[in-house]
Amino acid sequence: MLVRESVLQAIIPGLPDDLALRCLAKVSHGYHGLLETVSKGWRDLIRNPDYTNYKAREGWCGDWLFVLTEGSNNQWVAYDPDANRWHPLSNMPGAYSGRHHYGFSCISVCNKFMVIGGSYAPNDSTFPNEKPLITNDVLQFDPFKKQWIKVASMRSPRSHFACSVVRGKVYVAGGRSSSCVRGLALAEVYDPLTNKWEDLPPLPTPQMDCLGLSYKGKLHVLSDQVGMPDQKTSEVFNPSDGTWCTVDDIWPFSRAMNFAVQVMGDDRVYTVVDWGESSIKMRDARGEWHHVGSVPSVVLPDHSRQLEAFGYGFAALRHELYILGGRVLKWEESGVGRFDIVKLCRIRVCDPGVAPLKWRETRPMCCYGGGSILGCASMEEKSSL
Amino acid sequence: MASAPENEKNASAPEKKTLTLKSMINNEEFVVDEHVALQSVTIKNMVDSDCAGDVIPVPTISGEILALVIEYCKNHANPSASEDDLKKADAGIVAKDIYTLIDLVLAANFLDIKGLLEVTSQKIADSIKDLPHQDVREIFGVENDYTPEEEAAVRAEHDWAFEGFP
Repeated sequence: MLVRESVLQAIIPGLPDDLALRCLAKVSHGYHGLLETVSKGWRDLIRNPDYTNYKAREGWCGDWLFVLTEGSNNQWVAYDPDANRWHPLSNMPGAYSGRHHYGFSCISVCNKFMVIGGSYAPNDSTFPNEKPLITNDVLQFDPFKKQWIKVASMRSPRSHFACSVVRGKVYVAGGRSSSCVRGLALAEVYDPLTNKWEDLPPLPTPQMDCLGLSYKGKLHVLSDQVGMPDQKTSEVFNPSDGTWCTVDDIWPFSRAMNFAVQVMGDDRVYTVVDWGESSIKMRDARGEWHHVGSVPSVVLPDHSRQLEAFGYGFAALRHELYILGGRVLKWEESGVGRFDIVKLCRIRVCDPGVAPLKWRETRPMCCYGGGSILGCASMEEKSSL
Repeated sequence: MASAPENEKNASAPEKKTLTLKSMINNEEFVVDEHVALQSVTIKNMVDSDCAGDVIPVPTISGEILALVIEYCKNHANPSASEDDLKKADAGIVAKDIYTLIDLVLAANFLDIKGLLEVTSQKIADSIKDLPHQDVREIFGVENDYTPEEEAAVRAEHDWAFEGFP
């Protein structure tokens, strides 16, 4: 039963508090600011462990999109598609103030959002020779308590590594470290149920700047080697037998881009290929790639030309693809070659299953001005049906 | 709506067993097929433990609400109803004002009908969404116990929640 400090009035007059709690537990996170403003009783309820535990027990986490933008001082924001609202997350524990976080991985697993590893670099250039700090810290956000905690650290500090969730466990491999100039071969796996990292067999070759992809129950490590001849293979880890194998590459695109990839429905892979136009490609179950449409160009209210965005985030949520924020170069009309960089807050969404793509805009990102996206990930509530 | 309790339990056709539910608020009675009524765990427990007489009294639930509950149970006892049909029917049942919804939640809870509790509490949750907090107070009769300063502070804390509201 719900314990309240002051029994002044029922939460919902006419309903016992446990039933009122049940009703309010069905209201998703994007509305909580409104609920807390209704009365002290409602605020106390939303912040009460009975409320958060009830939601956790029922698995009612709601749907989330987590985003970290440049210049936000490590302040993550979250979007609730149900409410069409953004809100800032609470501050991360032990955040490195004065440094910005990049090269980390972020994923959702077991109704938790995790930010893993990465580098912290000084924000200002007072000490240009100061090296970025590569961390093995792992921070976890609980969507019920709406709090961050620090969980077990990775065995190896790393940034720019491959990371993905395969069958409820978090796999990481490769990346940069301060000790190995040619990159890491080390790989490890995290079990969210036991909060433990365990070593995996190392990658056959060290990989810097790589990306993880969970595809049909296996971890694919795609390397992103700028300036190297295109590699025609990728490394695949099979959790069933605990081995790596090198397979013919499923990735026919340039490695030089900061590539973003999303898997929907376990066998459709979507990526944005940034060759002048931002083309969205889909790999079907037979392994063929199709162009499904382009990220629309941006029209600014005070500028006549259509502009191509870059540095945007790419995420999948509830069968839709999200293009988040980014920047555009706004050239001066006079033609002298000067330009401004404009940070975008806008969010563009489409259902990639509907051809031609129909784009809509959601409420723009709040609070921190948008711009380049340093990390984004989604979390979906599992349907109880 | 009220139908006289005919002593059908002793009738010769055994395949159509019925129960009579009686609202103790306004003494309305409803004759319901047993398999329909047994979706209520409370009634099932009464029947299973032989506590149910010819007429099952239902305290604290009005005839109007009981009729809605029975409509829900009938829909969900129909084996040929598709998921879509049920969704539409459920939406119709909960398309009511807030006072009826609160009574329905209480009834679903008392009679222990999980599905009905689910759709009614979801409906109450949905009716809160996208309302300014002043409207939520008014509709639910919640007293605002914030001082103006406290309210301004909590509102400032959740600035993002009020975008687009006056």
